[in-house]
Amino acid sequence: MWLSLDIRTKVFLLFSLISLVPLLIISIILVRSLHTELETAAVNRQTILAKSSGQRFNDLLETKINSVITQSQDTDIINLDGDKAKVKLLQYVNQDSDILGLTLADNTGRVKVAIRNSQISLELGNLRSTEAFKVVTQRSNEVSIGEISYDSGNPTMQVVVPLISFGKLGDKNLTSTEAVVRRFGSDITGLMVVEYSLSNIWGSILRGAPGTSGSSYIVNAAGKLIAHPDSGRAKSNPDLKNVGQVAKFLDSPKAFGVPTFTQSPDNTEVLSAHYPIARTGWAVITQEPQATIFAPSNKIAQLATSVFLLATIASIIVSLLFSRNLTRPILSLVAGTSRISEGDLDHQIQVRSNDEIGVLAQRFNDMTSNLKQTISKFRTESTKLNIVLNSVGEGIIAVDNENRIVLANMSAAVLAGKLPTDINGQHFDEVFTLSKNNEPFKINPGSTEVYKDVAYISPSKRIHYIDIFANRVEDDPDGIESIITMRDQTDERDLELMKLDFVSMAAHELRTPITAIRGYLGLILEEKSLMSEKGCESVERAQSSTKQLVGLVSNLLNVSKIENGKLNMIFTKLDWAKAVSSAIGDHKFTADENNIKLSYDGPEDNVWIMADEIAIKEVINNLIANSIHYTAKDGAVVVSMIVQDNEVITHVQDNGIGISPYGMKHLFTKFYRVKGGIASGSGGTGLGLYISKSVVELHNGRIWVESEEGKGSDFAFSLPSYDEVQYEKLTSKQVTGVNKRRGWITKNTTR
Amino acid sequence: MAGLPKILLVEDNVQIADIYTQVLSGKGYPLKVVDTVYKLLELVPEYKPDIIFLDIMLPGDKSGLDALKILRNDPKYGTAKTRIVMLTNFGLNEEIEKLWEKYADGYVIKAEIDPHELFDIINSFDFEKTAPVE
Repeated sequence: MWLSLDIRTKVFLLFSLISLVPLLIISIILVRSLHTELETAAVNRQTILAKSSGQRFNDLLETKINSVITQSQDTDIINLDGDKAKVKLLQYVNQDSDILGLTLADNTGRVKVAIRNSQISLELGNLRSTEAFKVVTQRSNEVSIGEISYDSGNPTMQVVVPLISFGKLGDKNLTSTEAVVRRFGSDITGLMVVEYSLSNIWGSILRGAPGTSGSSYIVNAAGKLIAHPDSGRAKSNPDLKNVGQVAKFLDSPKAFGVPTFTQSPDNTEVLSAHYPIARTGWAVITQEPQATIFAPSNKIAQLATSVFLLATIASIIVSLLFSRNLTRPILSLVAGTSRISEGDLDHQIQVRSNDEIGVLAQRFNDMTSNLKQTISKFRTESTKLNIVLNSVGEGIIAVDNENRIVLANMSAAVLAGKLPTDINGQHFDEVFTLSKNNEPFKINPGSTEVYKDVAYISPSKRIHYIDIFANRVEDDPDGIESIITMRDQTDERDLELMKLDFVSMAAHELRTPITAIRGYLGLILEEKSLMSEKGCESVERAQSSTKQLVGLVSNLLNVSKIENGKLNMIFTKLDWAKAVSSAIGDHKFTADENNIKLSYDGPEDNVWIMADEIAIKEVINNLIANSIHYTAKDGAVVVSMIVQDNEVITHVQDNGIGISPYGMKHLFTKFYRVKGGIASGSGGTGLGLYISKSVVELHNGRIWVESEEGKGSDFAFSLPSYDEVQYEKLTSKQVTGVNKRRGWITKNTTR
Repeated sequence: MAGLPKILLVEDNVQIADIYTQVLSGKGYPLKVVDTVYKLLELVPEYKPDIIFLDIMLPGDKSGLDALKILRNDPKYGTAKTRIVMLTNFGLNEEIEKLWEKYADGYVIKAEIDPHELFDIINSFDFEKTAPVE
């Protein structure tokens, strides 16, 4: 996570960690401690306020009630002495401006005195039906305090006191006012009702402490609002029992309500306390808005927030500036390396600082110039290689594992009749449609192999004969699977065919006169009796030379057949031991003439093979003639035969001049002749071994040679032993009843 | 067939014709020699040879191979069963090989044989009555 951030972000985060976080922590601690202090102070203040307000209200109320009780105990009043009571009551009413009215009635409810607005009212009535009269009828003997009424627009309170006759009490110990009211109803002579205006009292209680935003209100025992700074609200006596502090009061109506954070009747957050009024069951509730209480700490919190924001902005700016300063050289390094990676090797990275980054930039510049040199070297090499590749006569193609051409040289492109760039990326088989022996043919580039004489028809409709060398490339990093070399042999082949045609024509032309010479010599030799011995010998020599000439021409024609694959064998069952023994006999004369010991070491008969009799006899004759030819006087030629593992191996060994290593390589190719040797014999065309090899191979055999220069040679060839099944197979296509000799064939079949 | 087989030699080379004539006549074989396909086809119906030695390279627009086909395929010559041996100095080519194998009874490379081998060739055929040779 941290690693993937860019330097700018990292620097910013680091700055924040060391500057902003401590600031934040200090601010929070400061604000919180101030908050706590303010809370404690407010709680204390509310405790004092609630207690003082409540007590003051209680005192005022008690004073009023006691004054009413005291008045009611006046004898004249108890006795309902009309005029005296009027005077005394008027005086009493006028002493207290809070008294709105006073009514005095007897125990039947008949009003005796009524004072309104400090005047004796003449309007007398009866109180029997009023709530106040209950004091008399229920003999509660207690001061009754009525509900607060706002009937006149101002809050008014009715205090009802029963008038009790002292005379009948008979208990002088009771002096207190409390005791006085606890008397029996029979002593009640009447009642006094005093109406108080509470405006002043309310005012002094509800006004709250000067300089504070606190306020107070009063609820009755049922939790209904009876006094509020806004008298209009109190008028309708709204039910506040669900308001936090009121509910608390209703839970324990006699206990002092310690300050708590709760809801005001206006649904604002306040710190509120209450003081219960014992006599009436009311409670004075004081409150102070939280907003006011915590105004200083909120202000400081605001201030701290502003400071924090400013610090954050400052931190961002500083870190940006710092990181820009830090990253500028790095960015210029990045930009420089990007240009280099895009191939602009002439670009020099400009970093002026001498710090690590400056050093790094310098190293980069060094590296780039080295790279440039190396690349230029590679380019030169590549150009050289291209020149070489394109000047090679062979078509060279590299293919990938899908056989697509990755690279082709000029010769390959010429063969395809296109530009090298046009065949790049194309499928090899699509560019070169090949065939072999008139069958469609495909090379397998996945393996190293040589394909000879593959025909390819170029876009110009010319048939090319090509040798293809597929060379598998192991694990090439560029995905080259194989290098295919194509050697166009068409011209060589055409030349070869022309050569063969020429040889064939020449041979044919030579044969006609030779036939005549041979024929006439034959005719002459039929008349030996007419000739001298010397003449006879001369003619025989001429005949021998002619036969040699015939053999030469016939070999030339055989080469042509081999080249065209037309040298056909006619297989028969043959006793090879007998054939070889007889061949030894045929060469005895020549060997003796050259003083060479020719011997045979092997079975005399009963070694059976399948062979074309004439062709295979030519092979052994050729080898024996060669050995004699290349062996000096007094040398030896040994022919031997071994039968092993279903094959017959025939050796022709001599102690002649031997063959050089170079000669060994070319021995079995046509027209090759080992240098030296006596200048006679039939193997002089350089075709004997070439034809012998072909013949042995057509017999499914092998021919080989071991030789050391100056020590002699050992030619050997193997032939499969006679095998009936194999023989059937080989001869199944042959016509039976065939007579074959050198020079002629006849079929003795019935037509 | 009584006596020696009747031979018809078709050969345009005068010397070779001369040699073969000397050899065969010397042994008493009835022999006629012609040098073109036309003369051959003219002679065959009346001469009725037992063996025809037929050169391939002949002057004119028909070769020995053409003659071979005609002799085998046209019944009017009555040569369906006549032994026909091709004479040539060519190496075997595909066409020649196919044709001689199909139609002819033998094949001779003239340069490769001595004249008296003609008798071996004649004797290799199983005539009802073969003349004693040599």
